[in-house]
Amino acid sequence: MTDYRNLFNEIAYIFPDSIRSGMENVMKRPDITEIRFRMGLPLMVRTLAGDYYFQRDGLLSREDHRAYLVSTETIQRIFQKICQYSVFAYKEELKEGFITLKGGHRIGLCGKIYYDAEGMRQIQQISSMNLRIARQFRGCSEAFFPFLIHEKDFFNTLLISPPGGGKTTYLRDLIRMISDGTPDFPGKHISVVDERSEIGNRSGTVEGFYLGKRTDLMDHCPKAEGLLMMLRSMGPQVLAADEIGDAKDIDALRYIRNCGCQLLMTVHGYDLKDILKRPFLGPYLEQYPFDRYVIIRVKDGGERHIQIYNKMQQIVWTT
Amino acid sequence: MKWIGAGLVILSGYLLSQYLVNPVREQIIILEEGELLFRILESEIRNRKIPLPELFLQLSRKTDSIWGDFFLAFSQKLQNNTDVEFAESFEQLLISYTSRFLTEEERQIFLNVGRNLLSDDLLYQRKTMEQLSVQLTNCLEEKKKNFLNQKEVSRAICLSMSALIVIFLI
Repeated sequence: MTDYRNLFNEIAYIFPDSIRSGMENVMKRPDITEIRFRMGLPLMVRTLAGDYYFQRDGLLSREDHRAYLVSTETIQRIFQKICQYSVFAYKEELKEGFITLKGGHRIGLCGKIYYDAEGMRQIQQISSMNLRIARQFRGCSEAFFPFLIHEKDFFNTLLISPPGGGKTTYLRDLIRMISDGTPDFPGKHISVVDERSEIGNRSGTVEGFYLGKRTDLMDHCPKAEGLLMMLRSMGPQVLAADEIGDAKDIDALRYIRNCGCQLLMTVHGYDLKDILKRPFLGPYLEQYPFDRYVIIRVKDGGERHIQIYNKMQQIVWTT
Repeated sequence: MKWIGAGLVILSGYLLSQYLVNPVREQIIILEEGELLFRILESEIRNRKIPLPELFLQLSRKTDSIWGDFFLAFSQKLQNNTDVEFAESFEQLLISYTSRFLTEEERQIFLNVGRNLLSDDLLYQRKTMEQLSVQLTNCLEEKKKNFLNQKEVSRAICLSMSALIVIFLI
């Protein structure tokens, strides 16, 4: 109950008056993952059990005939609130197409792209939004953590899953376990590059998610630069980052791969074969394979199915 | 004793003349301060890119005048969990806090300043602020000129009245 109250307090302010009390009911569901606003269309709530339509009274239904229709005004009000009436303050985030709210919740934006006087890509005439709910599930990676370590060392590990699969949630828990240690594993100093402020949810002086006693976090920093900065300044034993894949990320990984620290990374993908076909990541993995690949799949009903492969692509653990 | 009494009557006349022009003096102070605070606001937006509710809160701490109350109230309103129309709320609060001190023309300039804050084009925002600042400065100069004239007239009348009283009593 406390968790839903905290969650609601973190994001209540963005909802217009007309749906705020109804949203409080919706937040009570522990399996809610996304809230989708599309102009002129029913407001949709995504859960682990599937998609539902939101009704004004806060009930969720599989039928859309009583669903709340998202108006232009609703979209505008939400956009004003997430930007705190200050679009100028969020230009960097808008360039990337999303804004991270307090609590680590990410709201993706769709609309019309334009380039401002400084040549920066911006979005206007917002037509749809996707609010992704962030949660910390402590202990979600305990079952397979022993297969990512060997005596006192942590294997170079890559988490692979499609969007919405839970990579960031598992990453967060693994960081915590590496940092605090377990009875069989001494804690390691781990440096985290949190490009989108999602892993740690550090906003201002708010502590955010607990990531462990030996964790250093670089917030809102591009991954490639952040990894090199952390390597040079924080003396990490493990380096962690979310959603690697572009050329700059791979260049940074090439540099740090033989610098004596282990890696914990995530990537969007369906499976190992899928990511080996990527233009930058594929050749890098051919040359520098990770020791462990954690493949996360979402089954019907929202249950996660996890498989762990070693660098020889042999399965070492499965749920 | 007569001369002391005469001196006191003259002094009272002088103080009365000051008191009569005080409202205009207050209006000038409020107008000057408002122009300065909004220029500071525009500069902070351009350099630090902090969201408006937080900026308003910081500004409210820089002054004890009605502008401090205005910015505090606006900051709190924007951070409430209610639907807020920025321009409408800005206007309502501006009228509520400054109707005693600003003329319609001056209030309209500040309303334009407020609307300008919503622009995400910082270059345009800066240029517009400069233009509005010039308009405010012109209003200020006009007001100061009128104030000086009023002060002279008020002083002359009050001192004359005081002198007449002294002559009559003596």
